[in-house]
Amino acid sequence: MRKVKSVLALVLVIMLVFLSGCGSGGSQSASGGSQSASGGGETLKIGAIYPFTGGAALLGDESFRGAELAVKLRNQKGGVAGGKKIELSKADSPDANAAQSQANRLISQENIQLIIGSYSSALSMAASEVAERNGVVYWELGAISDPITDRGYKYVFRTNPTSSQFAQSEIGFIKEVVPAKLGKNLTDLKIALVHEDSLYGTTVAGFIEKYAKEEKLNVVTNQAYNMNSVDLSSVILNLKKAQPDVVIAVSYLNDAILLTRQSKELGFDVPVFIGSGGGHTMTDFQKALGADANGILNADFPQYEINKSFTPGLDEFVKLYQDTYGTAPRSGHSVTNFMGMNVLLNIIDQVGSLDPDKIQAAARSYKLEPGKSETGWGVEFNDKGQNKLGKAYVTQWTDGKLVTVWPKEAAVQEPKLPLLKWSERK
Amino acid sequence: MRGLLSKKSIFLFILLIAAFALPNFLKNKFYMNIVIMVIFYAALSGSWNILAGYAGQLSLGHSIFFGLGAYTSTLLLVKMGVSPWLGIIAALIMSMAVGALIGYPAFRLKGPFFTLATLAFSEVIRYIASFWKELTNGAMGINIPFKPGLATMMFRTKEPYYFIALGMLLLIILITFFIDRSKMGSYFIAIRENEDAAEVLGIPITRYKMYSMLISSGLAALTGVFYAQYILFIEPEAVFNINFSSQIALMSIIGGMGTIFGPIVGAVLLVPLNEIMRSAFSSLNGLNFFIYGIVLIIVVSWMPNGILPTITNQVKKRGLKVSTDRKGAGKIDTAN
Amino acid sequence: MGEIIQVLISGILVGGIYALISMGLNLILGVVRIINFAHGEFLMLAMYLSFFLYSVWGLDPYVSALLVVLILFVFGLFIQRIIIQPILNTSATVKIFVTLGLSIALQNFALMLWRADFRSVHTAYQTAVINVGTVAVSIPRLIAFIVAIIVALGMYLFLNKTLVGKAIRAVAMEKRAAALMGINVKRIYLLAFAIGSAIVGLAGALLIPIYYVFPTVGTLFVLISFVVVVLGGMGSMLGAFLGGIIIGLVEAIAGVVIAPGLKEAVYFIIFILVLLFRPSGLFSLGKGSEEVGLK
Repeated sequence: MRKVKSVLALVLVIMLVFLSGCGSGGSQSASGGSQSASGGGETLKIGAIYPFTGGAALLGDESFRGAELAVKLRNQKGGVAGGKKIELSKADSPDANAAQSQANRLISQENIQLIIGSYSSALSMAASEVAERNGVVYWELGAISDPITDRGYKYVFRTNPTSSQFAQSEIGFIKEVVPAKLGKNLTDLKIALVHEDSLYGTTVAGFIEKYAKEEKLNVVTNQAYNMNSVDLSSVILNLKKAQPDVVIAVSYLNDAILLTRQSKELGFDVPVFIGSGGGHTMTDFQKALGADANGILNADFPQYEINKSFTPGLDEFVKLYQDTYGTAPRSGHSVTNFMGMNVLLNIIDQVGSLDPDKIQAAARSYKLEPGKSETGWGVEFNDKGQNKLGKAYVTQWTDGKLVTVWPKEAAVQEPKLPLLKWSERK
Repeated sequence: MRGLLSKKSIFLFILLIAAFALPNFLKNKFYMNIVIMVIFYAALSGSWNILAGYAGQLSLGHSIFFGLGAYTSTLLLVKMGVSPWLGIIAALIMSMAVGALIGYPAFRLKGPFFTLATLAFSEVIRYIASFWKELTNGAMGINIPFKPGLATMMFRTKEPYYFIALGMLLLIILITFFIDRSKMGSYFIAIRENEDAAEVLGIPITRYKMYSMLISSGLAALTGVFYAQYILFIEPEAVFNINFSSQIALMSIIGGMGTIFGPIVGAVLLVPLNEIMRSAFSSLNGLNFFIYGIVLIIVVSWMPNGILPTITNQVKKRGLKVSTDRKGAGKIDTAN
Repeated sequence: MGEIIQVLISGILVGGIYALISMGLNLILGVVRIINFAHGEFLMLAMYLSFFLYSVWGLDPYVSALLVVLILFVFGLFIQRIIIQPILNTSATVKIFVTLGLSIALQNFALMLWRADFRSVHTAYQTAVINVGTVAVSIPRLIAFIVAIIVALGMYLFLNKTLVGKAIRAVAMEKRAAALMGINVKRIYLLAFAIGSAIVGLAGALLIPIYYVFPTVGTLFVLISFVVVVLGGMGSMLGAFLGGIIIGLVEAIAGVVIAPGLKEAVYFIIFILVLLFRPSGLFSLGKGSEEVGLK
């Protein structure tokens, strides 16, 4: 029996190799290219590196949906460059190692000349390195770590703002809005930082601390924790001791919910609480916390309650999202990817092909004023490929919705500060 | 069996020539990358195999030594400009020292408790690497600036990496081969099969466990240095990773623990499989790893000795004469 | 002063949750002698069950707990019969990697069916607290803590006072002798594994009001439960309970005194120290760990 089984197992392994070979062959037509049959024109294939499995799967998928919708919409409207259809080739990359090898696969196996991605900065670093060395354009739509475009690579572009731009927006908001609302001097404000200690949290918090120091703000404590912690009471007790006026948090979803719930349980009230995107702007954050989320501020990618005249096309996007996936967008990651993808599609439209050199040249001279895209961002790339005109907006949870409160041109209401105590939130 | 002219050594010789000639035929970068990853994993898993496959110390913290190697050479390169070739020596020393520090207390533990201890050590080191920002740059990781050259062990093309990896693998195969044929190897296997009996027979078990740890951790450090120079970006989350450790172990387990070529068979099968699975079935997120998990359960429980011993057993049963590299590997599954 | 008490209370309450999750693992490890790497995924499934019973039929997690426990009991029987039983006589390596495969499969099964979204329930008492002076005590955590005590005591009585319980202990101590005494060892394994899963089912039901569920939620808890089991002493229910409390306390205190970023490292170091100096665990009777049964 044992022998029979081991032979069976051997056969199974061999079958699997063949099976997945077929699977990968079939997947290319299955992904994203549902409209590619019509039109009869040429199909342009773009690689899409996102984490679809593992811990980052939720936001990876949400980010990809934005890019997917942009492609779908463009194909419905007749494609690019006179009828050419776009097709996305999905490449699941749960970690940097996978991103590296998937980039290699897309480039040399599928002869892809353009790769988009990636939500996660670690993936982006790995994949863009491969793209640059192969002379393939890497177009980042959502990862915020600064070094991605600090390296000054020729073929690496990014439409979304970086973590330093995030930090600047947060400090800018605190400077402009908070002192008046709390009736205190800017330099008297006690600011506490709390962040998860992986790449994302460390980078954003590092910039916040740096800019806060430049502005001579008083940072009273800086608490780093592991995002996989299942208990954050010690973090909250440390915060409680510091009695801050403003808490700036950089968290993923898991820890963002825990931080809020345990703050309530332990009775930690703070007049101003600002999240930095990540978990604090997810719909699941609000769903988990209900009324307790009310009043929490966020500096993040654009959300959906925003001055619509400043963000043309946003309503159309939300409707398309709703029709396609049956729910409202789960965070601003989708629209951010949607906007960046549209910029890229416009450039492809101009160029007429996916030729990396032509695309990178066209990108460098591409310009869009602020207030003309779905996110309200303008587009102008600096010499390192970073979009200078992206910025984080400050939003506030109000009755289950993230309402934009800052800057003025995008805002639909005034920020309500100071925050209500936990017992008063309804 | 006799001397250099046996069928098997001719076969291996041809294989070796083929390996050296491969880059002349394989120009596709993706395949080249996969081949390099196969060799890299085979080497890394081969180093684990000495500790776990031969001496029977089932560690799930092997990424500690791999990561220490990567961090040591990288920090020397980035902070002091020391060539990674010299960094290898520092990495070896660092990794073996930590291996001894971990092994000394942990070898008193048996079976699953040793495994759990290695898991815990691995987690502790990961937390420290994330927290000690002054030294390791914390979670932001270290980005190695790309300066191609022989001295910096960085190259524009994949071929040099291929040969370095191949050299590494050959070294590990050779060392495993000598262990396999030596008294030390017999002691390792004696310890693996029955520790108490080995002790009664007068084998200094702690000393020999330590030997296996030192060899194993040193070789893992070597692969770590290579990895850092190949990927050019290291971070605690990626290099001190428990899942990574179990991947390393899995290659040997699938291929055949305690055999010279088991880790290679495992890597040849699993690395491409992982690559393919990632892009296969992309219509439903998670389906690829779901299948992977199920297959893992079935293969490991139906073929507990791994592929290589299973095949050689089958062949033997049919009465064909095939020499094996196994030494008592078939017995692993009866050890409790 | 209030602050110190708050740290201690928070630590103890979290410890209750750890204890609850670990007691099931403890039984499985102590009796069936298998390191179940899929234990976290059992917890995840229980939490999803609890969530769906709430969202589809509006059943309060505390009410549906019994149902979840039953389903997980059956699930445990199934897994033990189909997957674990065939590999009982193989090496530790095989056991570890089979359960690891199970963990990967279950995680991605959840991802396929329910996507990566975070799900949570809404109940009135969810963030309710009792304030004693300046010290806040979370009610759902307190409930989980009390249930953990009840489970620990209940299991203690079950294992020591009932015939089946004594049979389980006999198998844990010396399975050959137990078999000679006419105990059906396979059936005891089935039972122990199923009870272990049922307890983790209960843990899931009690955790969902405090926490939330997503496909990889189990990975956050699985290593902690290993630590707790070894710390407390394999097979000792009281040990698992006290081990959970100790880890909870250590984590809370280290987070305040040292740094939140290192609190997990601290309990892993304690874990290593215990392994080295008292491998049989703090609350077992001091025999070599592999020989320790349910004392």
